[in-house]
Amino acid sequence: MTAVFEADSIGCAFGDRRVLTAASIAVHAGSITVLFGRNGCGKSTLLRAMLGYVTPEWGACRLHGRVIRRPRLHRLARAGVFFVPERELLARNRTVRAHFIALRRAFGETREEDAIARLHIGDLLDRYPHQLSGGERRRAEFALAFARTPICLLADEPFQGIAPRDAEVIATALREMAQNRCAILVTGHEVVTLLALAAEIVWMVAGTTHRLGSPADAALHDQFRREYLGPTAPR
Amino acid sequence: MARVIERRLLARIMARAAFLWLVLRLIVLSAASAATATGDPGPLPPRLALLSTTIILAAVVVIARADTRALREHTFLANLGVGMGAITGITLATATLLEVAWAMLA
Repeated sequence: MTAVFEADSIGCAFGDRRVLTAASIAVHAGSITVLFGRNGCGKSTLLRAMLGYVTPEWGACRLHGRVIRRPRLHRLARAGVFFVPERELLARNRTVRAHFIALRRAFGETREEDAIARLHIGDLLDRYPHQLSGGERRRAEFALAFARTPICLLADEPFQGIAPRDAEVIATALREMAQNRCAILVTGHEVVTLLALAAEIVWMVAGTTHRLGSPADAALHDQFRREYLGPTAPR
Repeated sequence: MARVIERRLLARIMARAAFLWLVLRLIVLSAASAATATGDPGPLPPRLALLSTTIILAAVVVIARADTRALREHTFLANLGVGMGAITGITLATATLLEVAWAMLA
């Protein structure tokens, strides 16, 4: 099965510090892939390399099997990729409603009303980002992603610092997007939420990636348990 | 591109470029006035005029790009299919038009 979006053997360094040596990841239609790894191991760097925010020294990115020579988010977005960064996605000077209007103008038909209902943001539409709590902002960001109906969604640490109730709402939306054939790649450390969400687990360590398979397989992987989940993690 | 860049966004990028150009042009004018004994700089020598135009246009582009990133608008716009190149191009074109118009009127 051809991956929707794929990074192959990406190598990346910042000055003397090598972050990625040969990191590879592939996201498939209708599947949620979770990228785990300790802080600073290069998860965000890999995502940023796939979207052109950092230039890798080697490796290649492919969309539908075709090599993208110079990936750029705005070009990928036109092809159906959507990126939710770790920090805020929403523009400070637009209300939530204005974001939806811009999305509709850029891409025509969107699932706006469905997204507003599913992410429970109906009463937040006329607020500016600074008037939203962390969880509300995250829900609004994922409502935009949901409304866009992308072919591929990349989300960097989407569950960081938000309440379990907000996390559940977002996780439900992600599951529905996957059911609609969206390929989803998510990073984070919220093990319980992410293992429940994932179809495939990829673990990043020492600048490279290891495919661990399903969450059940990953939970039985000794090295992953020892070095990432910790000794007290339930089997 | 026309479909991607909404009219309101286009107007905002152009308005911001025009405002930045005006501020920078006024700074250059007042600096040129201060540099002369009479306070009236008169027409600048061609090389100096070209230098001031280049500095103004470069500064408009750099400030507009930094401002777009600072407003965290860049990632959202990129998700709409609008790249920094489009924003830079519109900004530069607006500032260049104003600079040409100003040079013709001066």
